[in-house]
Amino acid sequence: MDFEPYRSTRWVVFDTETTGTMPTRDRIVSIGAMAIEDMEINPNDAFECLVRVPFNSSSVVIHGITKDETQREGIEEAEAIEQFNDYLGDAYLVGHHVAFDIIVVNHALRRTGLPILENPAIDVMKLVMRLEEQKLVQPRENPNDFSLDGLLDHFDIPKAGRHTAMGDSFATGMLWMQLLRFCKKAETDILESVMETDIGLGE
Amino acid sequence: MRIANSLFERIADFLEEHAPFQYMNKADLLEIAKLIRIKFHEKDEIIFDAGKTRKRQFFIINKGSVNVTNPAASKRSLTDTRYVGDLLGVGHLFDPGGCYIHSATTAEDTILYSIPWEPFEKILPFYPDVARFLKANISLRSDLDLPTIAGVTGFSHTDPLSDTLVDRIEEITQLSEYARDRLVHCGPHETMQEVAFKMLNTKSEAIVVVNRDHYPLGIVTKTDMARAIQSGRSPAQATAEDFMSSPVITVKDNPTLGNCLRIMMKSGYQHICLTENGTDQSPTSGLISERDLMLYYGNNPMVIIRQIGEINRFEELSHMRHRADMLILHELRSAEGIEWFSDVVHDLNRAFVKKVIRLSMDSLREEGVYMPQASFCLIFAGAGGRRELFTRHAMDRGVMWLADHEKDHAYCEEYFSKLSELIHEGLLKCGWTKNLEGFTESNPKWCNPISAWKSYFEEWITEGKGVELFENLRWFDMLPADGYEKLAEETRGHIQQLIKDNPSFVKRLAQTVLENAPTSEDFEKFSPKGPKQYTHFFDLYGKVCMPLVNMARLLTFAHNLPFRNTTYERFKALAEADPKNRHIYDEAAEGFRISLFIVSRSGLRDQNPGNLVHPKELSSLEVQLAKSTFRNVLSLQNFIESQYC
Repeated sequence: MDFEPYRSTRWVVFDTETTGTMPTRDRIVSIGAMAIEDMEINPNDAFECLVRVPFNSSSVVIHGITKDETQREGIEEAEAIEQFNDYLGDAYLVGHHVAFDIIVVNHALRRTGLPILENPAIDVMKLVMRLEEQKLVQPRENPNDFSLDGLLDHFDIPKAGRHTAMGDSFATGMLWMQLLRFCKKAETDILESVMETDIGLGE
Repeated sequence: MRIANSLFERIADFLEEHAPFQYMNKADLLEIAKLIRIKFHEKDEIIFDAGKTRKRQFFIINKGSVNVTNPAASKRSLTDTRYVGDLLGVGHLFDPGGCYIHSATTAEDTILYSIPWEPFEKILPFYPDVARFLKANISLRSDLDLPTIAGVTGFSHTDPLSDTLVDRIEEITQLSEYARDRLVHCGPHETMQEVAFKMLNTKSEAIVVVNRDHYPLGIVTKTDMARAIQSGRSPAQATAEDFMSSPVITVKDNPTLGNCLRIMMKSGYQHICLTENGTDQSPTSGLISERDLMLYYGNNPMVIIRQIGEINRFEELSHMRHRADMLILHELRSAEGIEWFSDVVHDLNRAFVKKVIRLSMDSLREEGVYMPQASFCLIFAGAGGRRELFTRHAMDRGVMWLADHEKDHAYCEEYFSKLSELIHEGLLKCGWTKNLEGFTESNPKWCNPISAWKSYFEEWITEGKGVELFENLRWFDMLPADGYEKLAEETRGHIQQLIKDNPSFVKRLAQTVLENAPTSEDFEKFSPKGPKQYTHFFDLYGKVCMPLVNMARLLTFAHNLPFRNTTYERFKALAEADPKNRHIYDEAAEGFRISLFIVSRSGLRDQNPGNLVHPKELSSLEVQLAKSTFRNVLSLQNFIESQYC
């Protein structure tokens, strides 16, 4: 594939922690994002914020962020989502099951009165499956394991300090740089084939 | 944009786990984290190329591994595989704007963090340990005056407790002041009564007798005072001169504590006079007693040596030697201390062997077997002869003797071979263990009249080569341990003359040394982080210490230098004698010192020879120094091959 156009692409790898798994109802607790450009992570081109939430939910046990903490150290959703929207610009979005994160972000954008994201997006899980189909990577031992942990293990990416938005996006960023190298070897534009542009509100 | 502090923290956390960043504070690490770029590299990707201008950044491996090679090097060069946490490309620090000497290629898929030099260099002056660590990373290059491992080993983290013996032996000023305060003197004609008054008034245990110019003549101690009373002479009439102990042991003012300890251990004297020029022909400036030193620090090798003198059973000797091992292990905290301890351990070994010899002779006497009319000398060979034997292992030794009368030859042979057997058994009881070839001393081949020893050396020097010469090299390091030292000295003179008369010896020796030298493959297996097959025990003694010992000895012979005991001293003497290659000798001296330190520490700790070291047990600085030493060993081999083969 012709990889050159993608080399200088600004990819933003991101992850959100939310109060639950219902994007229409649940809220963003935190966002972690970092950009990869020229095949390199620049930690200064990154974004992180904590968002004030009105209630504690069962997902507190996963991300460990309490309502009080968000009230004390976080910012309002509108401010957070506006800043995040500015940070993204026209970047290509990347994440593990990224559609979910885009949907929650889009709901927040709509609540704020901003247009929803139309940036092209790639789910690393889908990309890995496509790379497996084309035999460009070793197949995973357990094809039914769709977790980020499973992917990181398979590609031998260090997992220190995960289960925070920034921790997960950092690990995913490392994975992404590795996956891009494999994509270069594909005969067709494998990135194009898994790219989504109209995720919308998931309704 | 909101600053991603947790990302910086995550990067700083990674850095903090690895040298040299572990010596930096968190705030600075966070600043460094902000400068870092993170990049993924596929297997076989070139990170930098030898000969190309250095980049303005260096790297730390986050994932994967990188092979560092020197394409310009001759056949003996090292592929140094670096793993997670290892650094790449730090040469810039000492050769800014220069070119890479090595090439770095990823050995697998690898993630590198790159750190720009410019801001990093600004904080470097605040972290001398970091600078030292980076120096240890630099490769050996003899045509560049790079600061390398020489001068790096004084690393504070290997010596976290400041209150060590090695530190205290450097407490020069306080010791001299103390010695000056303690000085009480009298004239030779003062009466013992007057002397007694002075001692009581000043609460002194000894008083220095000085002449008109203040030169020391003798010392009157409490024991001398007792002798005076025992003599029955009137204390009002007997003079200091009549009862003083003389001569006195003198040392130049401002001695180190370590130096004083050694003098007392060797001489058996309990007092040392400090004088202006160190002889008894200059004014006295202070007095140090053994008791003062004991007060300075309680548990010391001198106490142990004294106690050895009082022991009459092998079992107690064994216990005492274990105490000595523990003491040395406790005090030996950095490579700098190794020379001082070389002397101390040699003195200890000698004290033990002397005692074992005495006990063995006593037991022969009890059986009615008496010492013949002959001179004899027990010699240490190998590590013992070089004063580098820290553990109770493989104490190579031999016995040389000379019968006063030819007719006693046969009896001498019988007696000394019996004595050798008993010494051998005695040392086994004291916990010394055999080396792979067994005890040299229990082998009758090494218990001989001096004429036979001379014949051995003649044979080795005129025609010896290959394995036979290699195995006997240990005897070239012979050092008298007990008995009539002149026998050993005479033999040594004979060796030097033989070497002079046989120029082909150096070439044969060089070939022998190189035939038994380690290869780069041996060193490539040393890694604390590498794949499993590389993280086993490494024969640091056999692959690093011994090759350096053999090369130092060879080069000493080649340069016709006078005999010196330790390998470190030999390399230092070579640096003086051959200044244009000073760099390579200095590096070898330091490399040997650190390797011997690591081996000795591990042997004393585990009560084994210490030859085998697990890379994981070493500090990250020690790993770097070991790797620099590997390169050094190979360079020295190349050097010898080009000069002497």
